[in-house]
Amino acid sequence: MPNQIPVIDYEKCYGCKTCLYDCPTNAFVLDHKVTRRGMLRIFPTFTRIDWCIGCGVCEKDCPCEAITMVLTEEGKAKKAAQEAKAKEKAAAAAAAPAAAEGAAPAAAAAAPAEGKYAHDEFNADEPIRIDPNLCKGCTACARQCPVEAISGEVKKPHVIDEDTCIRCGACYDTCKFGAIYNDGSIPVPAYDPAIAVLKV
Amino acid sequence: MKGYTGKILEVDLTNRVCKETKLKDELYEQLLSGAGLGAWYCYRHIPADADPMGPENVICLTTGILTCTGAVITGRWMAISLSPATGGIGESNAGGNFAPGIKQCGYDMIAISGKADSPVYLYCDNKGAEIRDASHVWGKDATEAEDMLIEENYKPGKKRPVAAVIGPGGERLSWMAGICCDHGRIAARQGLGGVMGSKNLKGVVCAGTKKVSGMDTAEIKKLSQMTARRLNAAFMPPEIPTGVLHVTKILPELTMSPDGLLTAVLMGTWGTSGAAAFVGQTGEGPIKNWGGTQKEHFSVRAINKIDVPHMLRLQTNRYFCYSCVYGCGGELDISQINHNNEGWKIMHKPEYESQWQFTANMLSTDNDAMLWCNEYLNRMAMDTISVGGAVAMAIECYENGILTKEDTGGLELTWGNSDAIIEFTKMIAERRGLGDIFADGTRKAARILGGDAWMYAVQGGGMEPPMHDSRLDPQQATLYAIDPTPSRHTSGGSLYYGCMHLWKKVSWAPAAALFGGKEGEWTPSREEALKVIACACYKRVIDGAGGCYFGMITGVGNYPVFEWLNAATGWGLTPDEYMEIGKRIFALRQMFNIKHGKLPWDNRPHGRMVGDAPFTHKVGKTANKTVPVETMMMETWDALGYDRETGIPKDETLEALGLPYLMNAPEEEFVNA
Repeated sequence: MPNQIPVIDYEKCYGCKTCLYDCPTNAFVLDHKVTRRGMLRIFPTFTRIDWCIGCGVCEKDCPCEAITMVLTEEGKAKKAAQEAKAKEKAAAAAAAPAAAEGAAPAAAAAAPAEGKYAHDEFNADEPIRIDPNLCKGCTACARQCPVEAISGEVKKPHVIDEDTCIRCGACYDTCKFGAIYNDGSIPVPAYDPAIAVLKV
Repeated sequence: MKGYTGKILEVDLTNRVCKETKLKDELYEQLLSGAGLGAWYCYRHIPADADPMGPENVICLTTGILTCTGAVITGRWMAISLSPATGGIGESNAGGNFAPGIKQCGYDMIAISGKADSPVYLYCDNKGAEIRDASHVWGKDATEAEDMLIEENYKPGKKRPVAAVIGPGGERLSWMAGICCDHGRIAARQGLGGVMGSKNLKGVVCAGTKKVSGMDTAEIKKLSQMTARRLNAAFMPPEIPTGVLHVTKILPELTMSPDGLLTAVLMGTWGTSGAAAFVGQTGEGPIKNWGGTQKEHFSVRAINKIDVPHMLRLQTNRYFCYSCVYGCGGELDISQINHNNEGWKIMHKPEYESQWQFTANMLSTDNDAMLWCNEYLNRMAMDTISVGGAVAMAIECYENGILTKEDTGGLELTWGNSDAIIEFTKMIAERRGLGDIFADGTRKAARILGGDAWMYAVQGGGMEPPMHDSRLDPQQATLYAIDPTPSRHTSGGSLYYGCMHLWKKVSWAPAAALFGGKEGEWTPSREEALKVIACACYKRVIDGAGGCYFGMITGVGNYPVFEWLNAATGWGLTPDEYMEIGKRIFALRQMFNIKHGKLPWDNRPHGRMVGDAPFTHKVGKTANKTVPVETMMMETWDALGYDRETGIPKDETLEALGLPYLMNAPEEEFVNA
């Protein structure tokens, strides 16, 4: 289940099929029948939720801004979990600011990476990159990438082809080592790579 | 990204090698993408003595700058090559769904040379390109082949591929064969499907998902939404009968420049085949192989039998090309029509060109036969304009004793005999019997038949003209003649010029009166020449942008191509500067022809297209209408800075456009390492 799915506003849609042909997973079909001005039209409709990866390419490409990406239940849950965690962190930092300087990285390092949903943090206008110092070459991101934009050998740092990358964020969600970033800065690792468990 | 990807794919079929090449920004700044880039590549890579059907010919499949940027009605793709039919630059243009496929593989253009030693197809996706075996689809019609190639390359949950294929017409090397996508959107003209067939290339499949964008997407979308709103506001209920077009009977006498949104009203409601009623009033549709008149041979009563309501009755839904917001297309349920022994179910609504060619131009009122021929030629992936012209010529040759029943294999090729029309269309597509002589167009057929056959071979420069009688539109007659790809109504014409309102943005484009007498158009003048040139240059900008002709004729205010291009590229050019690019592309195409030994006078239209004696009509709308086309050609060449007598661009004109450098500088100048 993707974190977000498209919703088409048919008041704004002119049926140009850009979404249908730009979608990297063929999640739209021509199925939405409506009679407009006395003639039958068939508009794209989003039906294949199982194939949708929530990349938002349809929303970005729609010339008429008729598509909005909306969080799914799963996406909402992840977002809520993340907001809760962020609140905890802020409270802990406010309670012991001096101690936090040394301890925070270790505390953060001990926190598991699960539930890391980055919709709010994820910036689809910035390129996505892999930090070679953090990447373990586990290939998990490459296997998740819907457009095969990530390449690399096992146990060696991987790279993302920026031209191919559609900035769906699937790799960002998948990486257990916090090696994937897209805000131009090197990330603080979510946990100490030395004690990370490799999930294959 | 500035709308263009900056990368092309070069495919050598002989050695089965695919190579990606990055091109410099300066090239796009000079020539845009699309047809400009294609003309440049073909000029430099096709040797002067290349055989169009040989391995040295190159065919370029290309998209425009605006495709996939969020600009609407910019989903066109083009095929450019050396045409076997004309001997000069071949350029055909189609919509459908293939244009985004090329771009989303990361390419502005796929340039294919050589010849494979067995049937192949080209597969492209994010990883690159591969030449694959096509022996299992060779021989299949274009619809079947497209479906098979897409299915075998599609994995559920991944991008659905798109494909452009040739049909049996191209496999049989017909000079009237085209390249088809989406079951019937065809780059039909100039015989470029035959060029692909000569390379053993069945088709191209694209399954890429690379992102494409312009620099200022927000601005592009704002303009798109304005265009979409306006074009959809221009609306007419489909119940309105085509009889409303009776008012247009004054058009032959009148020139006008309405808001181009009017064309959107007609297209959106009826599609181009609504034009049948329109031309029924104006007389613009040629009758009886351009030799007859409506008054004598094909009355309004006959036109009513083939008018668009007969199609709309079968229409299941409207059809829109990629990124189009007003949709001139439609899909028809033809399962119940006569002649459909093949069990075909759904087909694209015929365009006006196909509709009129297979009815009025052959004096047939059998609407079902016309529908059958349209679907058949879609599946053969052949040009309905050219095939229809060849059939009409064959009928006239038969009626005048140049062809006998023995020649036709017993077929009675008479005017309006729809069974014979269907059978002869099949004979042409199959190259069977007499069909083989006509399969490469009317000019070649006339050469083979000899004698008086030339009188009935209506063509200009080797290309059969579309169903727009240039006797009534001298600007169009001139464009038929001076465009390096001759006989194309999509180069422009008086009514189109009137709708485009170019003078509102281009400083040197003469203004057309809102209403005025039309007689002046038959008198050669610098003003008429400038209107012709404005159409020709603007069309090249549209082709470099990937725009659609029907978007173009809604007018510069409603279809903001200049503004879209600036938003996508950041170039900040004025409309005049874009038109200068258009002039450059036009001259480059002319130089291509000259390099390949096709001199500009070769495109002089057949006498029937311009009303020369003895072809001047005596009655009807075209009565006594003769276009002084040769004078108009010379006047236009002069205004373009070409030699007035020969049509060859002068050296100083080429220098001013920067063409010697573009044509002759070493490859390294244009390639990014």
